[in-house]
Amino acid sequence: MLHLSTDATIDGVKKSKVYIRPFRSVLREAPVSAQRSDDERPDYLTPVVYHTLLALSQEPKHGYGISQEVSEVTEGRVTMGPGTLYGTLQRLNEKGWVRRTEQVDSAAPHAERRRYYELTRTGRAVLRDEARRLARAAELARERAVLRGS
Amino acid sequence: MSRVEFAAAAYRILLKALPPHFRERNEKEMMAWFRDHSAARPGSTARPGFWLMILKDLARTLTVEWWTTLTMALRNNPRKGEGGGMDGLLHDARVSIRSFCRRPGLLLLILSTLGIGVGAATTVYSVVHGVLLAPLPYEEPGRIVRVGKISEGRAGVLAVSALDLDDLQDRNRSFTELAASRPANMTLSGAGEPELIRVAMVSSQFFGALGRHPAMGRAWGPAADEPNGAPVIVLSDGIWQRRWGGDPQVLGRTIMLSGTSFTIIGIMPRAFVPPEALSQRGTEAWIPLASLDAVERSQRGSGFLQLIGRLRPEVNLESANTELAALGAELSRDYPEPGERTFGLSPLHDETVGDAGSSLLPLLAAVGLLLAIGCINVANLLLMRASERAHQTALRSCLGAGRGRLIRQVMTEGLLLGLAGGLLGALVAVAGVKAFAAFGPAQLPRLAEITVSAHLLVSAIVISVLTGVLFSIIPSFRGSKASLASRLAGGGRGRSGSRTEARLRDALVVAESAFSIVLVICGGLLLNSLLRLNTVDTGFHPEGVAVISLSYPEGESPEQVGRFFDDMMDGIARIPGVRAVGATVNLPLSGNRRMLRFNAPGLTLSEDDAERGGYPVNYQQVAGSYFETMGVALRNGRTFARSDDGSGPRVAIVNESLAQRLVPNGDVVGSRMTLSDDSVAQPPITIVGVVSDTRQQRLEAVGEPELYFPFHQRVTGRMEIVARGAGPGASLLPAMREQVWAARPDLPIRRSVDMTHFVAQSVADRRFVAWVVTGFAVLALALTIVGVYGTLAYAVSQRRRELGVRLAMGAPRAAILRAVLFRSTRTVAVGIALGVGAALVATRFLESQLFGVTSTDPLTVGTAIAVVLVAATAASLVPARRAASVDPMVSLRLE
Repeated sequence: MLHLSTDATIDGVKKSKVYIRPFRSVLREAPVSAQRSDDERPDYLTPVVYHTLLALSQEPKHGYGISQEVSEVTEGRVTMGPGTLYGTLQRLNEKGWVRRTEQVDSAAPHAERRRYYELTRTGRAVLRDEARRLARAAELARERAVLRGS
Repeated sequence: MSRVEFAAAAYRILLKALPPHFRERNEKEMMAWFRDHSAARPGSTARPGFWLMILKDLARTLTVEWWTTLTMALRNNPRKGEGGGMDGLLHDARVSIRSFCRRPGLLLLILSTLGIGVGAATTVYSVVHGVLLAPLPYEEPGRIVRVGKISEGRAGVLAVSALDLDDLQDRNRSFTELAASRPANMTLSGAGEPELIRVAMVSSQFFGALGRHPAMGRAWGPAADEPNGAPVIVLSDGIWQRRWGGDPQVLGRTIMLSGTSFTIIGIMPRAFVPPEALSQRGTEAWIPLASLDAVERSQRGSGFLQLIGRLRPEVNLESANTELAALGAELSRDYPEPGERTFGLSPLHDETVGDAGSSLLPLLAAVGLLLAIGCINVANLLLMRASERAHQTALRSCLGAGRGRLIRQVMTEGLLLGLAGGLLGALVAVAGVKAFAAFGPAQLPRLAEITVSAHLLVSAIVISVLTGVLFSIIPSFRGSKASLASRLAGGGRGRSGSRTEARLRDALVVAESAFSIVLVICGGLLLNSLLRLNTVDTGFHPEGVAVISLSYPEGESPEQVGRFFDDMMDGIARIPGVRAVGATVNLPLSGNRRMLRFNAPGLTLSEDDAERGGYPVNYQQVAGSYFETMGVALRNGRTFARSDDGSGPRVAIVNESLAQRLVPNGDVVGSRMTLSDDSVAQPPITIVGVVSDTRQQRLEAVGEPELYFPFHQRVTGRMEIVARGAGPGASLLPAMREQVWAARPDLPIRRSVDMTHFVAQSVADRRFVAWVVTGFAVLALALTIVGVYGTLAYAVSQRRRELGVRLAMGAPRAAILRAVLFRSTRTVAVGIALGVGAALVATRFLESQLFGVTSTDPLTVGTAIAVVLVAATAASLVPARRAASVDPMVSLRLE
């Protein structure tokens, strides 16, 4: 079975072409990390997860705030619809990387429904590891002069 | 609905496709996201790009979440040891699925039969359960009773005055709480557009009596019920969500209700259902009794409070009833002026449910028959399959398969079929209950409480699984017992199985046709009644008539009330398009009656009537040009005039039935009568006119005597104003309501309907029952056709060799066609004969639902027999023709 991928960004590199992947590879993406076991740290994070964690790194945010920020910092290359967003948040919550806060936005019209999310200690550690890995990867690219001329 | 709201609603519908647990957790937030987005980027919901993004996101989420849900469910499924039961079962399941996939038609037939039967049965049972059986949704509902006045000739318990309530509350020892309620319509203004909402004025004990308290905030104490008590209000969850978006800050705010400001102090829980026996359906707010009019409050004679009480734990219905009767006598003695009063009680459940059973129980019986037919059909199909497989079974047995192994295989198959059919049935039931809640008769009580409960769905699946397992296992016992040699030799292609098997199949067809003719006869009788009801001459013309019901506050002088209704009718008459206006106390077909007894010279009374003070008759007051407006024909004399008021001579109009009773074949105009409640000094009443009979109580009630008085000679505060216009009645209603509110903004309008709608409503539940039973009859007939066709087709296919031999020996094809047809028709005919016998008994229980036909109506029964016979013959025709067209050479070559 084949699946039409809608996810056009992998590790920050935009692939403008819609391409076709086997269905199973999409499903493998369902867990937030490349590693199936839940107790170990993953090898790498998917862009959606990385940017979600990044968006929460400075202050708790509500769902729409997260997707806004992700869209802004990636200049629209990673867009998160509500389903992706809350599916991801639910899984991150189950893993103990983020949690819902008790804080509600009383000024908002749908006050009691606007939940805020914040990073947990584990979530912060995972984010830091991933940021380091990406930095190393970028460093490597610079050493090999991949970035020259861009 | 704005565009954004519409988009949000569309999105909410899309979200329904997500797995339930995911939706439960995230739906609200996803909706909030959606709203935030549309607020942050106005107009985005109108762009296709946005929707493309949403749909992509949804497709992705659906895939991921459903996959996660399913794999989680599978992983949690424990699998015991290798090679053991579970594995064997899975193997059996695979074999069953594979073998069924080779016969998709049969599979479809079995599944749809189970789905329809189980689904319909679960739907009807859910409704019956929700309406009749389920306890009311209150704390210890068995102890809640309606309390009130009991009156001869009027069903149920009646309203009580405020002063009597005070005394009952002080003196009774039976109730922990005794609360009053009075429905009202009030205009809510302030927040948003003004809106007419249904309100109940209730005493502080109301919430305690039901055992249901506000989910947020609080209710009020007894002090608020006293005159000049604090104006506070408790809202329903529904109106709170609708008008204030569920904002918790609303507590403590004030709102305007019909010109008075009320402070919101509590919100009822979402699940709270106002007691239907007390309030009008859809009550959305509760205010203290303090809002009662001071004059009303001080009158012991005017009853307008409906009471409910919660019995003390140690008190039973009987002793409470005895105490109430004693209290009634005590109050009548202490305050004799409003007259004798009797108090009594009735369980709230009975008062709520009323006689809903009379229309629901026929449905339950009908669906039971349908389910039985469905089961028989499945049994028949499985039986055929078992015989078909006899050869295979024998072969497997030869190869060393144990008997238990073989039976298990068949059982697994039945289990799978039952499970799939049950799930299908559960889906049908969910849809059915939703449809019932949407299209069911509006008068049905507790419609809002009908839900598909989990345990009903489970029992539906269990019934279906049992059917599947039972009917697959019966033939399997026989199948595995038979001698291998005969099975292998028979090979499933010789004769049509064994003789006992053929007999069993015939018996099933007999039962099936018997059940379906019962259903077809019942459906026919009900439809026949409905047709007759629709063509009844009601004696009036409802087309173009609009009705608006007003209750004028009690306690004002008759002159004031009279003037009010006169002004109201004059005002309505000035509305453009109105041709005639009148008013009456009881609309035709309303089922309400007011009765009195009268005497007239020359009238012969039965002994009983003479003792009770005269001949009993329904009466009503009419005003304006009532007869002209309703299109009731004047047969003799005159209608009422403006001069027939309090100062004029007392007059009355009779209908033809009463005229006939008074002066058979003579002129009744000018004759006199005295009423049983007249004082001696009052002059007799003169009859001034005769009008045609109308169906005053019900469509079925023919020739009941009716007496009409001019409104001004017998003033009452509750009137139904009728107006006839050039167009449809409904088009007059807005202007009529405006007229009422312009004069009295606080006046509750109990009803504002088109008269044709009102007439249709009076037969709504009959119509509903008739259509549902007919629907079941059609399904039953379809299932029977399938059954007859399947059985015969199978028999013919099994007899191909025999038929081939016959043809080869020179038997004419027509003779074979006839023989096959005859055999099948004979079986069906036996079933029909048995079924008609059963129907004659069954339809007796239907009599209350019939009109104009007897339960043994020969035309209906005859038609039903013809329909079933023709359907069965038609179903046999295809296999019979196939039998006659067997090519002798081909079938002999099979040897």
